[in-house]
Amino acid sequence: MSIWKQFRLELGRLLKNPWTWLIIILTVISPVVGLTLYRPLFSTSNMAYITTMTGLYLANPALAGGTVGAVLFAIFTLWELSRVKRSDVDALTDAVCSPMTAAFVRLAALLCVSIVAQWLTMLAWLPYTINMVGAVFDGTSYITVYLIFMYGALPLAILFAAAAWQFTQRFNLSMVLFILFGGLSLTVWGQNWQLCWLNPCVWAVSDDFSNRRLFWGVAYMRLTWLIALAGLWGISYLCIRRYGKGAVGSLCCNIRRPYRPLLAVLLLCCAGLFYVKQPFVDHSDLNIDFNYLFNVNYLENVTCSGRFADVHPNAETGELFGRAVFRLQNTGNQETEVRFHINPGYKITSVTANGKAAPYRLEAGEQLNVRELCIGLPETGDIELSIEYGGYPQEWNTQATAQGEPEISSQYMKLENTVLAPTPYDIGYAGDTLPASMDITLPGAMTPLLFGSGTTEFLKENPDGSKTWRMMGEGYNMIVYAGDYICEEIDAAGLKVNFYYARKHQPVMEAASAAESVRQVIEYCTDHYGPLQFYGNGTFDLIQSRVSGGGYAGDGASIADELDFTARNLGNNGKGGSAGEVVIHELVHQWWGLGNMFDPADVDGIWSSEGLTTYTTYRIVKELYGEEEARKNYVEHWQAEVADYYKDFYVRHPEYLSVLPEEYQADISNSLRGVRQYSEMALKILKAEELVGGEEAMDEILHNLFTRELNPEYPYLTYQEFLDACGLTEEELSLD
Amino acid sequence: MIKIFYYELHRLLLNKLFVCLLAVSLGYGWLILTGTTIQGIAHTAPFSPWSFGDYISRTLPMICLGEFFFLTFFTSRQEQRAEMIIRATPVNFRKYAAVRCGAVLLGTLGICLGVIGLALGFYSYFFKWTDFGSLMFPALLVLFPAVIFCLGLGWALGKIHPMLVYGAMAIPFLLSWLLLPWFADFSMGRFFSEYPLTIETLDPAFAISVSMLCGRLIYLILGILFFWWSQIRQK
Amino acid sequence: MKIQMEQLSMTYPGGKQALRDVSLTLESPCLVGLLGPNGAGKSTLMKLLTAGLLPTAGGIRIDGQPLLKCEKQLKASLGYLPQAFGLYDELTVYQFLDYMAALKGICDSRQAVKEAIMAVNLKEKEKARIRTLSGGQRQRVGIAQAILGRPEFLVLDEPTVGLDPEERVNFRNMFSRIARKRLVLLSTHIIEDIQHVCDRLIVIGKGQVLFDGTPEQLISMTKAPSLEEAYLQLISKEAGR
Repeated sequence: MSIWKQFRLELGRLLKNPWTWLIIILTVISPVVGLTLYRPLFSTSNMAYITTMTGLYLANPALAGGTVGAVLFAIFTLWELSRVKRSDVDALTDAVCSPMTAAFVRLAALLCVSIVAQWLTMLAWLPYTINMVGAVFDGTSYITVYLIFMYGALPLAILFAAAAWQFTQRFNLSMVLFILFGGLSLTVWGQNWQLCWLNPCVWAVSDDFSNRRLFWGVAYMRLTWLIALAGLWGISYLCIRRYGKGAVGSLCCNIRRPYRPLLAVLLLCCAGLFYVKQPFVDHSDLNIDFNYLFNVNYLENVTCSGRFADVHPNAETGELFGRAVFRLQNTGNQETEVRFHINPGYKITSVTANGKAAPYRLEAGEQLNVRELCIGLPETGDIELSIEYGGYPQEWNTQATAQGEPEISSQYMKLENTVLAPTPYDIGYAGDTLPASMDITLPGAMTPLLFGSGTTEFLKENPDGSKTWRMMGEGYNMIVYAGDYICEEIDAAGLKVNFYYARKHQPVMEAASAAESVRQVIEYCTDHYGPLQFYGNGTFDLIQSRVSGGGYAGDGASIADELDFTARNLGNNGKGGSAGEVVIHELVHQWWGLGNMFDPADVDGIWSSEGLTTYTTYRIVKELYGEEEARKNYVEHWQAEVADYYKDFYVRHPEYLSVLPEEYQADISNSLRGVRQYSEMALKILKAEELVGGEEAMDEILHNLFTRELNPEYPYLTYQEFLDACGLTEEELSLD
Repeated sequence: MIKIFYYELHRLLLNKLFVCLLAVSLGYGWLILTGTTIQGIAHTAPFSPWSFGDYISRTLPMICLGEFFFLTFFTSRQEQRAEMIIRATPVNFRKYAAVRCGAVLLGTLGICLGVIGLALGFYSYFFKWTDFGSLMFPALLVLFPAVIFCLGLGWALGKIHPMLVYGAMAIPFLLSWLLLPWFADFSMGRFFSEYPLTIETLDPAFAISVSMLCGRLIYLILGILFFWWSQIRQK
Repeated sequence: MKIQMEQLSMTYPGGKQALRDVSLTLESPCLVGLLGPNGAGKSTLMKLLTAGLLPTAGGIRIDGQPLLKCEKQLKASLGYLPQAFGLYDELTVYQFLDYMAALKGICDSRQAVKEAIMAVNLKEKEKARIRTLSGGQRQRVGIAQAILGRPEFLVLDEPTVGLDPEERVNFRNMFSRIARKRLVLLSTHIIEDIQHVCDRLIVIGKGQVLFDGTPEQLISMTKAPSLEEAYLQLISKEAGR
């Protein structure tokens, strides 16, 4: 019987088996687990489970479906493969067709059944997902998410289970091996993005922008595992029992056809290569040397007076190519080596100085998501240095479990610093500032937004429909966002606020009057604390970015994470108001956290942006929804959390914390810190408010603090400054 | 019977399956110790009876899983075929079943001791704490009724159909997840994490209410009843 | 030992009547051969005699006592080899027989096991795991466990399946030796196995006893040239009815 006929026979048999349909039905139902029990996407709030709508109703169910489906199909695979041995028909079937062919056919049939299960799952969940995700639903993302996040796990489980059976020929042992393999992924390998085959590292999924980099990363990981497990299966295939021999004896027999072991070994080698040569994440030294970044030994005799870059991101491939030109002055009259930083994923195609090739080398080491490019400058005084570069940008390996930042696609781009162009490392400015310009060519439908106070102007439309934009700014670095943005102008506190958000999100924003929420918060905070420094010239750009877990601000612009504006957050108006409290909290961070910064090095203390932000959010909620609501949901909540904190064993017995290894100490301290920074600090500020004479008095103090003159060498607002402004001591704010 | 017990133990323990089960249980236990127990449960020390009990309650489903895997030895096809000749011997089948269950219990005890030993080693190594005697009662309270319950249930289900033992493997996990009242909580997880919070004092001594004790007794009795029912049914 | 079967009937839950009004008396010492076509009821009869099944009608007495009342005593002196059986693959031959000896309650198990191993000629495989044995060797292990402890009543359902001709002759002779002092009930399809050694021949067909006597009596009754021919004539006559 030909293989094709055997396959049809086996597939037909499987599809007529009621147990097959039970597995299929359970697999179809399995995404429901992701709605409640198993929600692997990160929540950005301690108060509630907060993620994007796509994350809540598509990614979580798909990931859960993958996990549960993998377990179901592993059990089903073992059950089906052991059927022959269980029924003792192997003596009969082996006489009719080769057990090797039979094993291959059974595997193929099981994989087909998994495809059937997957398609039925996608069909079944489509209406629900459309309904729940709402206006930001995207069909392509739906299919991609289910295929990569869910279906990606099923063949892996089938291959592993089949391999385990072929090695051991024991159902129970194979099951335990699968539990071990799955358990490793869920636990020990959970933080290694390339190994967690069952539960891929998906931090968040964007509603409004693209997720291509994230999808490709997960798909790459799953492909690597697919190749590896195919190789493993290939080895186990050689161990299929023949001639009454055991595993090793059968291996020795089956290995006589060299193409079989060669193919298996080749697959394993390919998988190894894929693992090592992954293009997504760099190999930065995990010991971060902040001195390298902040204590730079600038060259005495080389300066830079301007720079220009011609950047061409490729929306199809996710790569970026460009040419960066620097006007340098070498006053030392000798050849000098200068250093640039480039993204570790980029290659250098040419380096010229005044039109002539200049010697250069790329250092092997990577740190802080950069790689050093060392260029030999000629002894000429004025040098026009041109660097051609490009490739697929790599993310910092410290963010390996939360990939997706340097997105380059036809729907969204975030290009910052060395992703855009090489930046000089040890070359100072020739003057006080450095004029910088950049031409960037983007797909026609995209609008670029230069973060900061620079300007953007449209330059030309190209024959292929793309558009070239010219950006003028200052300094070595630029940050560009590009997408299908629309701009809503908001008049708030005497400012023109350009609120940029994704066109896709427009229905949600308008339905929830998001612009009104933004206006309310800006007016409250401006009125109580003062205008943000980075308003710049009476305008202020508030840009919605792809989900990133936070925001940042600069001269004339501020970034707000799309998570701030999900339909769920905006619709969280159980208190009868117009905006969810999470939105308010995040917008208040524009004042406390961005407008006024807090020392990031002070990680152990109670003082951070969260205390003032939480307190201000309480005040806004109190104004909008009433004192009772605010007291119940904030003050009482903080009191309960702080009471709990002081009961903690390690708080009462710090000597036990100190005997633990550092990694455990750090974990415990981190988990305790949040309560202190959010709840305890907010209570202390509330107590300070009472001691200074009430809300108006506190508002004035905070206003003065917010608008104080900053020390450029240490611009951070400290706890002591706050206490001094209140005229209080730390002991007076004790909550005992 | 001692010889039979020895051979059944031989079959269960001198087996790759036991090694794998032990490895998985110890690995899982370690993750719980370093992830959850080390933080201290209900504001008590990581080595308090409450924290230790919570640790045992979290590893309980895995231990029960191992127990069900042991039971599959006695419901497997090989066992069914061997039963033809075993049935022809004068052995008292109730005693025989009891001996086999004893072997399963001992195998499960091996896993339990591994999990408990891991915690004790963790406590003595990290915290230099060795007052292990105070931890035995919580361990016994959690493990004994649950293990007997799973043993009886698995044995009874195995007599109905061998595959039911595999299906039953999900039961300890489900029972642990369900938000049952404390006294009915299979793994007692919620009891260990919530009961101390209801007591005014910090670091309360380990105490158990009558209803909790009754709940554990019910699981124990249910396990025995399942086993007895399977014996009756077989007769 | 005396075994009396009185109007024994067995109908399976599916409705198949395997035995109908079978009345027989078996007494030691004797080697009783049990012949019959497939599905005749031989294995069912053996299972009833070993208390593996309960009859739907009739009864069995062991030395005058109902079988159910003296089941334990019966099994204490029973050696049974069913047609299809399993062994514990993870144990060695010695360990498995030792285990069976413990189940049978044999006091000096070491001696009994060694005797059984020698009797079935498995000395060189004593320490081999059962999973490594061939089909014939596994059959010999099955025979060994049946003869462990020198049981008074030996029930063997097709014991020589999988054995080579030389081994078949050896075991035939062994069963014959055993039957000089004990009761051996041997079911087989191989006429040669019983032709020269069995003292009594019972032929069963469609759940009923077709013949009960000596092989010579069957030959003489059917006037056949050989026992095999006599058996075939008897069966075909029964089929013709």
